[in-house]
Amino acid sequence: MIKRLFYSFILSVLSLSVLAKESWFDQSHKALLPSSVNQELLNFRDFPIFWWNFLIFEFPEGESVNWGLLKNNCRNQLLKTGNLIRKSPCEGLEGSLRPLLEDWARDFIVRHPKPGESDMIKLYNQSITKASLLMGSSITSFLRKDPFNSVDEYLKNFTKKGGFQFENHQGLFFDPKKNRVLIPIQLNVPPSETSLIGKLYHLAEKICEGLSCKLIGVEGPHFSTWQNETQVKTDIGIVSKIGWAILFLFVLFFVLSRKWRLLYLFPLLFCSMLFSALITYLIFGKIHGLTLSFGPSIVGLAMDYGLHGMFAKKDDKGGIWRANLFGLLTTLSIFVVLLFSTLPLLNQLAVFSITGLIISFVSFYIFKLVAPDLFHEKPFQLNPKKFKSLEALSFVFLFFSIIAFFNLSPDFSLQQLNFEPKEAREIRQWFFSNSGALNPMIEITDGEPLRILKDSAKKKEWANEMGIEFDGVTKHLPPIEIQTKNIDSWKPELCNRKRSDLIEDFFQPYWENLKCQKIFPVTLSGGQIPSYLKDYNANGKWVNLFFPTSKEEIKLIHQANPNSHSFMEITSLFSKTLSMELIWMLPLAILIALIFLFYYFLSLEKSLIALVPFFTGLGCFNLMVIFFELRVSFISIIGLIMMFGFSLDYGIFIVNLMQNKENSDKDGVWTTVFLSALTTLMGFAPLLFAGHPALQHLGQSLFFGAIGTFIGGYAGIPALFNLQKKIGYSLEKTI
Amino acid sequence: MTRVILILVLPFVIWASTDSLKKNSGINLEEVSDFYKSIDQLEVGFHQEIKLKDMKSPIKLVGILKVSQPNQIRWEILKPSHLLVNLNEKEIIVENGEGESKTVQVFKRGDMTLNKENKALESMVGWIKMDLNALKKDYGVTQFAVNEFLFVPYSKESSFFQKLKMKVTKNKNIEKITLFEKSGDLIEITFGKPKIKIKND
Repeated sequence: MIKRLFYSFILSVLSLSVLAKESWFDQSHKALLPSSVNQELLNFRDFPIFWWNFLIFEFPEGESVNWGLLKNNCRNQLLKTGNLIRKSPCEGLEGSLRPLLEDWARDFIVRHPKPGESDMIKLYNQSITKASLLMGSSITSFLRKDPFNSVDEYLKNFTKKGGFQFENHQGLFFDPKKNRVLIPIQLNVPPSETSLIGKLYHLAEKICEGLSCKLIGVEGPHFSTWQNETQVKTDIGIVSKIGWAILFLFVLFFVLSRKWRLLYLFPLLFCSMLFSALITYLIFGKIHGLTLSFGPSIVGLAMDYGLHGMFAKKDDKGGIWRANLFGLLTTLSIFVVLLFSTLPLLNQLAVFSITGLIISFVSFYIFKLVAPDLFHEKPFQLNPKKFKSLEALSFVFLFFSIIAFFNLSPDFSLQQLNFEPKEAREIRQWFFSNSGALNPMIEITDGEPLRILKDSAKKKEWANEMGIEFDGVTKHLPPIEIQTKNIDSWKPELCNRKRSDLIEDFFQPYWENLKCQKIFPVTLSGGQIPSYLKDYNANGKWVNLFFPTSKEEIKLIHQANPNSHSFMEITSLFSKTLSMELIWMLPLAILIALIFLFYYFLSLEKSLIALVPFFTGLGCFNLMVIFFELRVSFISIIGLIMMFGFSLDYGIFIVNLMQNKENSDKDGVWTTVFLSALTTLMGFAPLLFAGHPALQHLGQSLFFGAIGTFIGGYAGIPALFNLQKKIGYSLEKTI
Repeated sequence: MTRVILILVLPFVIWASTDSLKKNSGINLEEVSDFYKSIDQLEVGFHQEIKLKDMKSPIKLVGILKVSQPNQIRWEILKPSHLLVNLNEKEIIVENGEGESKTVQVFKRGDMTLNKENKALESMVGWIKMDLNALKKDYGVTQFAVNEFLFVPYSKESSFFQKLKMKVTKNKNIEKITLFEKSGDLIEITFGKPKIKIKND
């Protein structure tokens, strides 16, 4: 029977592997965003029109810019990236713009009606005469495909794009006040693909070779994602190293203090972590680096159960394990609630924690049953002194925990989670304050291409009437009816052309592409999208952009196009979602824990006192927030939720000790609480020095929370019991 | 674009360039250079023929070149369509076409991309200022017939043409320039009789 159960268990675990994906380790920034918001972001980040990034260079004050050399260096360095660059003003007609311009020149006849005969001749001759400029055979071959000089029409728009209030030097922007140059580059991959961005950054640094400039900043979705990922990797590396060092110190301490049996807990805990990692991988298909960093710290909290078990009296009849069980249940309640979060990282962390905590607990308990002699260690003979000051401090923390409900105002914006090097702040401010048109209202449309063209044309017309700048497919391609009309006007020229030998000969490469009677409008169907329109298309959807310049225009756009949103509006969905989640998550977690506590103590008073370490932890954190002006993000809140879990373990055991329940052993409880607090503090202290704000915020809430929790348990709970004795007040009696 | 500049200033470069080419009879480049230095203003008509290797007939253009010292150059194509390139120390203005279809582009000299094909730009500024040393750095010059010279760039990669042939008249005027492109295309510019104003001093 047992064997069958075991095999069924193994099979059910292995069956989860069908969900697993090839790449198991995830370090992306995605997991930090709620899945709903992430999808919204991805929806518009899939469109190449949002794949523009900016290289920012600064020249010494008073020094003039050698534009020729700068552009040349830029072109040479960008060429080394292979196909990574989609467009850049550094490249000439021979660069990545070439296929786009060829499509643009080909479709001149669908955009424009045929001009009058004399104008036609002029256009032909104008293009032929351009060949006299001797720009090389490659450019000449392009001119032969552009009889109507449409390249000027495109380049005029291309170099204007950006909306910057700077001087425009052939597509490179210059701020004479700061002596800074801005080079826009559009990449060929979505922002989530960061593998080549590091290389691009280092090549961008080399653009200043032979010049006195310096790359002082990079802006844009690709660079931002890359910087965040790089910082997370660095932080994870540091935190992991410190974690191993702490583990080594504890092992050394246990060996030197001859409490070597405590070392048995480590392999059990380690196996539990491995197993929970496996389960997490099998469920999610990959494990995020942050889950691997913080998950073990949370599972490490299970060490408390092992310590309590080991330091329990030999004649303990299960009272300690009952208390342990309720400690586990109250902790699990938090993580079960987190399972319903929309943040993929928190889901992973919750699964990792729940499985790790349960497996650790069960394995400790089985160990205790199988080898009770090996699973026992004498506690340190601790007789902690009473410090009035700590008692007072615990009341101060309690006071600040009440204040927290009024002053703690977490900023849930995604910007809080965005890593930004300190030196980049001023540059970012400068960049955005000078780029008024960079916050467009985005509208994503879906459906039949012909209808999309028609709708887009209507929107363009509407925007023109309102005086609002518009960008979309119809900025470059008219609706089908107009295209058909235009083509019809060209047919006599294309079918019965009688031009001079020179015109026929020179533009032969152009005529080759346009067979008479086989010229149709550009319908965008069947995946046949001209290169110059590909920026507006992703996954069969199309994007329209409105560029409002005032709040009134934003309102107008919203009214006429209810599905249009600015980037800020899309990302604010995240904070709204999270606020909504926390409104029910926190009270629910507290309620579940309180129910477990009440079930355990059968006393509302004791249950509430057991909550004191959590509130002192919250108060301590709030005090630090006020004192150090710390930022509070949703990650800080998650840290507090985790703190809530372990603080209740302290609460249960210390309340037990105070009322001498479950055959509590003073030395055993204090030894466990001291060791546990020490491991928690040492475990989370490195995060205080992390570079990434998400890790910093987690470290701050857990570290300061753990200090407050310890003081609340060590001094606060005994002080409350003493106070109760002194005044003879009992909540139960009152009720 | 800088190629345009190159071709525009080339006659003066050639006039201005000097080398130890006194070995044959006829005009030597030093004399041409000295003559050029004495010129204050020059106006000359020209015929340009572009022979693209895969075209049956050449493109024929007619134009006028005007030069005013120290560095005003005006290269104007009159036929088949109007195209004007005005070059001075600070900017290059290109006007293409006439009437409604006319386009005007203004490039600041500093904004021009200094790529491998037009490194000559740097030396051209020197040529405009009659800096003969700049030319010697980039081209090997040989006299291959009476009054005919061959210019071959030292660095084939940094030049858009493979070689350039130049013919001068007995009066030290440029008569014909032939540019051989790497692609096999050929450009011939034949100059007419120039109107010249010599410097007073």
